[in-house]
Amino acid sequence: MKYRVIVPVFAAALVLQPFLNTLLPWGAAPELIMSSGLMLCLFFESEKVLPVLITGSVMELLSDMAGAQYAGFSVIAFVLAVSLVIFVRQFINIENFIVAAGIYLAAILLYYVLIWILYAMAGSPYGFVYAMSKIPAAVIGNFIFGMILYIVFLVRLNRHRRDRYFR
Amino acid sequence: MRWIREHKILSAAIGILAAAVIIFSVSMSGSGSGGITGMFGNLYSYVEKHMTAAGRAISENVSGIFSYRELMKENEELRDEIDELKEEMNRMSLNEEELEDLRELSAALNYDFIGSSDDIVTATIISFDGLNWTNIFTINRGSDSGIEEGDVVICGDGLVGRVSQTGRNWAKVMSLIDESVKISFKSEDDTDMLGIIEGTSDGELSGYMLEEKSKIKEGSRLVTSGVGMYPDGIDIGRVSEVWYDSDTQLTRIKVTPSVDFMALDKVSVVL
Repeated sequence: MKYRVIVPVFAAALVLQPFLNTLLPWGAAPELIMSSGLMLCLFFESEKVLPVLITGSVMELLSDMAGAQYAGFSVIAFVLAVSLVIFVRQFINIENFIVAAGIYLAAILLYYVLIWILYAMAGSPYGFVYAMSKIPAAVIGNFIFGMILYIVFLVRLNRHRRDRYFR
Repeated sequence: MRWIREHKILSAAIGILAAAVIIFSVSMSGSGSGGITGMFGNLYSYVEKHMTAAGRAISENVSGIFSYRELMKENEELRDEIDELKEEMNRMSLNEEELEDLRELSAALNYDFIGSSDDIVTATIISFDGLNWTNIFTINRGSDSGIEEGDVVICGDGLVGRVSQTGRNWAKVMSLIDESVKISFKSEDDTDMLGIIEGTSDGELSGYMLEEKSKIKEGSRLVTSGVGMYPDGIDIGRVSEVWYDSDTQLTRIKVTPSVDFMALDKVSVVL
């Protein structure tokens, strides 16, 4: 996976994020950078995902600088969520859709929990139960976006499935 | 070095985490408004403004199609409200001489209040912070318009919060629920009833009355008292619950903010 492909993709995600935040109701807008990063790491071998990790971290940092109260929160949560996916991928067969969806969902939840922990350390008054009660719409939005990416990658990577090679 | 080459992903993750922790610490220390953050914010706010406007335009047009009846009803109610306000304005109008006398008196007393329109900058919200449980947003005005850190932000419904960071053409605003800062208030019905409120862990406002056996009632409207960082007379919300805490011997209250933070579009910054 090359930087000349990954950088424009994540830059487009950074630019489109405010558009989606305003467009979709109930806070259901997916976190494009996080979702794309997780799905790319889920799909591709760990040797190829270093550009995803580095570029995604930089874009998350820029996103924090633009809109969040403090910079660095999303980077830490993103790196740890991606690390979870890369780690679990070594031990579990992710070619099964249900397994892949489960790992992806776990990584999304880890991301939001880490964000809450970091905000709590910074003095945010919101409790864990209140914060988690506000994220279902966002989790669903992220999940749907991730599954769309999954199907796109699946079709693209299996485009030669009709060439009779495997028969 | 060999270990780093053999464990590229792990090394990159550790390096990025270490850098992120340093950036996080620097950001928390409050030195994040200048330098790279300021420059990037100036550039990104331009992009954000247009992307948010596009999203809002589509969202409003689509929601308008499905809420035609509600919009017609709201339109009728607003027309009636305008007529009532016009009548009230006619009844309450001061002549120029009385207004000038009051202005001279306030200047003589050095009374700090929101006076002329020069003291207020109106701004549009260009982005929220992306988390559904916080109410931190960015507006399209900054230091070029005279906005400084700590300036109070209000809207038509009441008190919104304070400016936490500024750039040349952007500013981040923290709502009064997000801050763990205590706000001094008084009841609009009886200005002798004073108290303190702050944001709680479940996204509400909670506080206590300074007088032990206060007669505050549910439904009372609360406004800022002028003590502390907020000017006098800004609407905060309505009391939703009152109870006596025998442990602390204080009358405690819960307050519903008058501002719907998720539906905010335009705000005003008091300079």
